[in-house]
Amino acid sequence: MDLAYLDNAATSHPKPESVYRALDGFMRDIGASPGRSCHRLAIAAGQCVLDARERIAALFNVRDAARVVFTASCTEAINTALKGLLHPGDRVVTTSMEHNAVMRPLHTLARDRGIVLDVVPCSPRGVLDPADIRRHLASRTRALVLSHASNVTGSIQPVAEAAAIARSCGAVVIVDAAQSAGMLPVDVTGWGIGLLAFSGHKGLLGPQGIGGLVVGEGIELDTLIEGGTGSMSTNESQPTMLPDKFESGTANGPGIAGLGAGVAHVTSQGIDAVRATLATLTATILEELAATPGVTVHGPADPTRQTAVISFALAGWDVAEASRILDQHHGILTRAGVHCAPRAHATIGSLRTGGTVRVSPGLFTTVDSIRHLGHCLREMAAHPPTHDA
Amino acid sequence: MMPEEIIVTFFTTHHALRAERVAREENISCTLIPTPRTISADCTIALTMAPNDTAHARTVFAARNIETQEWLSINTSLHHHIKKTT
Repeated sequence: MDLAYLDNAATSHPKPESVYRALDGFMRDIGASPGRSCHRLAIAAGQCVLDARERIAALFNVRDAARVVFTASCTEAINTALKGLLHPGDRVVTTSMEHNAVMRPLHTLARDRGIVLDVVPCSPRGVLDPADIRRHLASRTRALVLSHASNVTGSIQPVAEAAAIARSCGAVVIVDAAQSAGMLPVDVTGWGIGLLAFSGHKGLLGPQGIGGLVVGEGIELDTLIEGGTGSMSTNESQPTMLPDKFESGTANGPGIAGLGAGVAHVTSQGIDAVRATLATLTATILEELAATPGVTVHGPADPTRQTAVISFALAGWDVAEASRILDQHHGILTRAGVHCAPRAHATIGSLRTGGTVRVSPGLFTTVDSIRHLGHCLREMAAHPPTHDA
Repeated sequence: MMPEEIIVTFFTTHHALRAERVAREENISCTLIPTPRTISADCTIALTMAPNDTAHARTVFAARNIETQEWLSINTSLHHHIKKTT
């Protein structure tokens, strides 16, 4: 049975061949620590890191590549941004569509530093109204934290507009680009984003275990961890220069090499072409879902207003059971539940029913596999499971 | 007169590697070396080049926003004779 991997919002799979080659090549032919020793292999490792950093800076329109800092994940990047920026008593505005990668550190900061949290409700389609942002930013606010696209509904948020409003109110704009990096245009300089957290293993096509944070010009941020950086080694205080300030410990060389190759793939295709491919697949999925009785689509249900993330429920089916049957009987891999975003599910009205089935195609998803999904869902819709009371 | 070379030091590896890349793009002959321990620098990697490339390199680095720590003139026969360049 051919597998239809429709879980790219969790981790993109498969990867371009160039990514596999970069990982293997780094481990086999380079292997050394980037930024530590100065022999030829250490320099080759450092050059791999530099390549990746410069490609990411170009993709996100960041003028100085030193402001692109590598982390183990987008979650670590968000934690660094929030915990490095927010001080006792700071007021923070966020939205009701955020992932726990944002909500949990904010709740920890509310408990430990007494930050004041203001959550702006989004529409039942999971979309933020910039007018609401303006209203909630009326009080003096340190930061606006929002995702560029929802991991539950794919809803694309008006980040540029929200950022302009936030900056006019003196708030730092922190963007969670986990679901948009490599899939939607991101313009750190043009939009005035203060801090941009991104995942390396989703739209940027790298391996798991690598992500990053862009630290905007003029943003003063404390460190989450300190340690060896290969620089200022005689000094026991943490360096203040970027990227070293936020990159303590040996870097994930293979991960960064793979990420660099993934970003090169995205750049060679062009972000608009990637977006068009994913929008076509999204439209095909929405078409199949519309042709299936008993399906409720949550979210925009419009490829121009969402990324390639589609959430739905099927009448008569528990979402986890539907996902299980899709996998075990049909080889279709989806993700059911609340996707680490309970408030987002509460916003779209699916929290009480245990969440949704989420399908998320990627660059290597075929239209045939989506037709197969539609066929299987219609068969399931016609034969809901019977349960004893 | 002993032959001299220029050693450029940096604050981070990122800046050192970037400087080397940009210098090569500009056809400036240069080599990354471990920063001699007699030099006090933040980064353990430094860049060497010929003295007559210095002016060009300074212009290029300034134009490309490459931050350097120090530019030092070193006597290649007597490595302990190091002086800051202007």
